[in-house]
Amino acid sequence: MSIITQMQKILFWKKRNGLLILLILLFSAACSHNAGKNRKVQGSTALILQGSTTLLPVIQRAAEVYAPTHKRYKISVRGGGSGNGIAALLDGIANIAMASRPISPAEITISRRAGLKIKETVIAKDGIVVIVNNRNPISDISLSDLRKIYQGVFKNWSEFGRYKVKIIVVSRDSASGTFEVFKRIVMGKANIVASSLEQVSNNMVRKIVSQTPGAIGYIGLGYLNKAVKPVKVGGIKASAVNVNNGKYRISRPLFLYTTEALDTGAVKDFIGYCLSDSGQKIVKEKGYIPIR
Amino acid sequence: MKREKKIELFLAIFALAAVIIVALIIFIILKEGIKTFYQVNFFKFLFGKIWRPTGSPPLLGILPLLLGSVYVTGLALLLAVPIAVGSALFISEIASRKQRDILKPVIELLAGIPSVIYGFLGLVFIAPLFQKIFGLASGLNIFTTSFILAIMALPTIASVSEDAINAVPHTIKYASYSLGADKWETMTKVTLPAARIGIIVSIALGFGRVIGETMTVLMVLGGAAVIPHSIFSSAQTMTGAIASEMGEASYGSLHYHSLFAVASVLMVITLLFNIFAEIISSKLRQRRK
Repeated sequence: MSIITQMQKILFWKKRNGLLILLILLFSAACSHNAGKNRKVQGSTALILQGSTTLLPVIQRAAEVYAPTHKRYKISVRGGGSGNGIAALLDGIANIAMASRPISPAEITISRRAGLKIKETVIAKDGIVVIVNNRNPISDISLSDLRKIYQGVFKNWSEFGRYKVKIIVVSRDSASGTFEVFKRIVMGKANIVASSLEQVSNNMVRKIVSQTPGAIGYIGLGYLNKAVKPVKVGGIKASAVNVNNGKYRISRPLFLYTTEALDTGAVKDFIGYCLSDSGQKIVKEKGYIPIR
Repeated sequence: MKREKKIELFLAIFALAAVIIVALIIFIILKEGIKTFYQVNFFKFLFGKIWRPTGSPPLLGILPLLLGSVYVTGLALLLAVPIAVGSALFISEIASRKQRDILKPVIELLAGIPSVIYGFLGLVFIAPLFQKIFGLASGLNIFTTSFILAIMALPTIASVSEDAINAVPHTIKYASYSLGADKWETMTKVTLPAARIGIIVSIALGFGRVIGETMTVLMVLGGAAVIPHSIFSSAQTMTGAIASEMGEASYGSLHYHSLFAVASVLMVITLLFNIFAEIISSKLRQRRK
């Protein structure tokens, strides 16, 4: 008997229907959306942190220090961007979202629809430092000139001095909290030029700026190193001191988001650890600004 | 039921599972993608020139992404096909046993290298190199990406073309020699034309490989969602846009559905090409019989 005739026998043969029904049930179970429903992610002994690549170095180090004294907790930390992290929290895939921007009204609406109450904790502050290639002589730029560069009004560094190189604008993708904040504080209502090179992480931005003579980009202060050159904005240098005294304007709080339902056990304990002296020391070590 | 029939049934269910999975994938992507068009005009989506999903208001035109995919794929194939078919010809017709024994595995090796490694090498070595050689402001552009993608597609195109060339009957070639043609004339005027259908299939497969490539594109193309104006422009492809923006889209938002719509377009293009390759393959098989 051919396989096709056999399959026909399955469909019309009552005894074999059970098999087919089982297959169909399995597949519909696999498709049914759990998204938006508040599933307790493996009870309160698993820590699944996801989100901002800006917070990643801090949280990874904090998890490393925290884990040996809390062996019964399973910890996993991953990046993907603030939007990604909050989406994961709302979908029930992560229980703490790391974010370098506040949760958006659209996301709050989705959380309400899913019956979740969001709990926000500020664990650090960050400066967004503007960087250029090490060969670029510029060391200070006004906020409005910075905006114009990102709008595409200025096309060449020669407009600022004797460095005759085409300006290459490097930015972040729209999942990034770093992007959201840069857009809000520097760009305002203006759009970033469409030809900007959108990268998916702080590291990529730094890499590209370090190897492209005409590039300009922005990264979290914790990612600044000798490969790139920081630029003052309006005469003010991006530093912990200047963020805390409010002089440096391109700065933002860094958040851990969870839901009220999840805020127990491991989750509550870990967030508490980040706020403790030990946790805040790690914040400072990684180049960010402790909140106390 | 006899044991043999039970086993056949078992295997038939696995085959059925494969069909169901493909059908479900198509169904889900289309279902989530179609919701975009409750809010966005279909033609404005397909032919719109600006892709700015997080702007206010959000602008959802995928022409920059479509053109990015098409240019990158087109240039990659333009670079890969002559080299791949040439290599296939060399391996089939000219290479000695020893040379063949080395060349074939080496080409297969190229296919085994993960795409993220290609992307990484592209970002760290090839892009800066091209930046210097061509005096460009940035090496992250269509040319660099197509160059790397051509290397990635080479093994696929070369191996299927080689099969096609090998399948050309000896009799035809000997007939050509006996009429006085030399090796080069025979290769270009007899063997290649005889193998043309298989070579077209290999190009279609190469196309499928390249248009779906995401990792390399993410690292080397520059991520600039604009209509490219030269091969040294940075650009963005459909795959790159989906990969870098899916993280942002909160479940159920317009951006989320529009990314599924982009995925739908990509999927339709890929399916059409696969079907095209399959039809041509079967014509080839029929001819052989």
